[in-house]
Amino acid sequence: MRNIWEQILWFIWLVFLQIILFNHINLAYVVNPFVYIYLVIVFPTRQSHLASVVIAFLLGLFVDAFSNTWGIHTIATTFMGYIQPLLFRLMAKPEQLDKSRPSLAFMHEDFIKYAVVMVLFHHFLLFSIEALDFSLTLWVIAKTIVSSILTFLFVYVFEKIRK
Amino acid sequence: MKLLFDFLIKHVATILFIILEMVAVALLYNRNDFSRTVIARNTLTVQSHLASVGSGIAEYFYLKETNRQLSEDNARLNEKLAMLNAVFDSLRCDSVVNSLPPANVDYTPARIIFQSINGNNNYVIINKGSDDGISEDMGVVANGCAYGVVGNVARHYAVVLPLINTSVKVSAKIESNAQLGLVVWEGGRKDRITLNELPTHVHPQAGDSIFTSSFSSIFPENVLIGSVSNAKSNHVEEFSHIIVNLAVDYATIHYVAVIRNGNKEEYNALVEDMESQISNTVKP
Repeated sequence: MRNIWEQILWFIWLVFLQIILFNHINLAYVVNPFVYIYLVIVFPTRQSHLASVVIAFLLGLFVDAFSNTWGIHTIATTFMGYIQPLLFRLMAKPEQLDKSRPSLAFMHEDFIKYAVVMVLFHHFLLFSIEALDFSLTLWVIAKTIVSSILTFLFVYVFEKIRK
Repeated sequence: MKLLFDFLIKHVATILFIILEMVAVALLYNRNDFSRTVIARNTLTVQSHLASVGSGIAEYFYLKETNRQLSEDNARLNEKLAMLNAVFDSLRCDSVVNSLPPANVDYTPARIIFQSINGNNNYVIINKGSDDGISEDMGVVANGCAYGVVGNVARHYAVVLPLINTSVKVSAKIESNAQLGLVVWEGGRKDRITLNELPTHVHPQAGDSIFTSSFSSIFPENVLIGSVSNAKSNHVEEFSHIIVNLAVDYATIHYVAVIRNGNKEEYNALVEDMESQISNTVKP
């Protein structure tokens, strides 16, 4: 029960931060951090797959609604919600699987690897959908890498604070 | 049913994921002008490419049917063309007929299917015969001008002896003074004919028109034959003869009309009767 409330609070907090703060970080038209993906990265291990998909969809929808970018965040985030349990099971060591959620405190460098893959995946999808043009692939990759670094820094900071 | 239900339960997250992604794509499409434009452009390209490939493949399956349709069309069009050609022929002939002066005669349009006009015994063959009411000694006109006389007649064909045949003689008159003569062709040029049996005191002017006279059962009166070539006349005994330029150009005529004189039999019977009376009165 505590988990659910915690998740709802984080949901609201992340959407709020994204809209108020991170949406306005647009360094040189290249660096756009999308920190709200932190919620998907730390989805509880025992959460049902169905719930992951729905929560991720709602998260994306809220961010879209407030950034007036209908669909872009929803597509990328719903996809991340769907693959998050699979990716976690793939990248975590067997003894880490029964933890309540993926966390830096228990997984250390494994969490960093997992989080980086999640963020890169999400950002690449997001920028691709935004561009909708294969001729811009290089630009999309550059944007993905630079923005992912900033997003990951915030994810790392959240994990440090939350511990 | 249970299997399906189990399947749905097992994959409910995947199914919902797909549905939600579709919702998201719909949002992207409907709420973003830029995305809509790009998506629409790309899907249209893919769609039209697929359609052209598909129709290209489908065309092969319809080739036989298309072939059949085309050959049917072809046959129908050919039929129509033949019909229209026939109408066209009759129209051309009608225009020949309509340019003639009215008379108690009717005209049978015909097309020339063979002609031999390079010698002295010239003749042409037309595509109408006794089945069309053609009989020997009927007059033939072209473009409203005298053309020739019907010779031998078959069921569907008839021989026409043109004016440029040495055996054809037609009664004619000069328009300006109504003097009568006889036009004959004496060989040579195909555009000239001779007007014979003119009294020596007649001096026609160059350019005077020559018409058929009323003294002929072959042609009705006032069918143009030609015009006087020059005023010089050659005297042979008590008659003079002059050169006439023919109105008909035999090399270019393809359509003619055969004249059927409704009163011809009556006329011939009258002449015959008269001649027998004369011979009867002469005999005793």
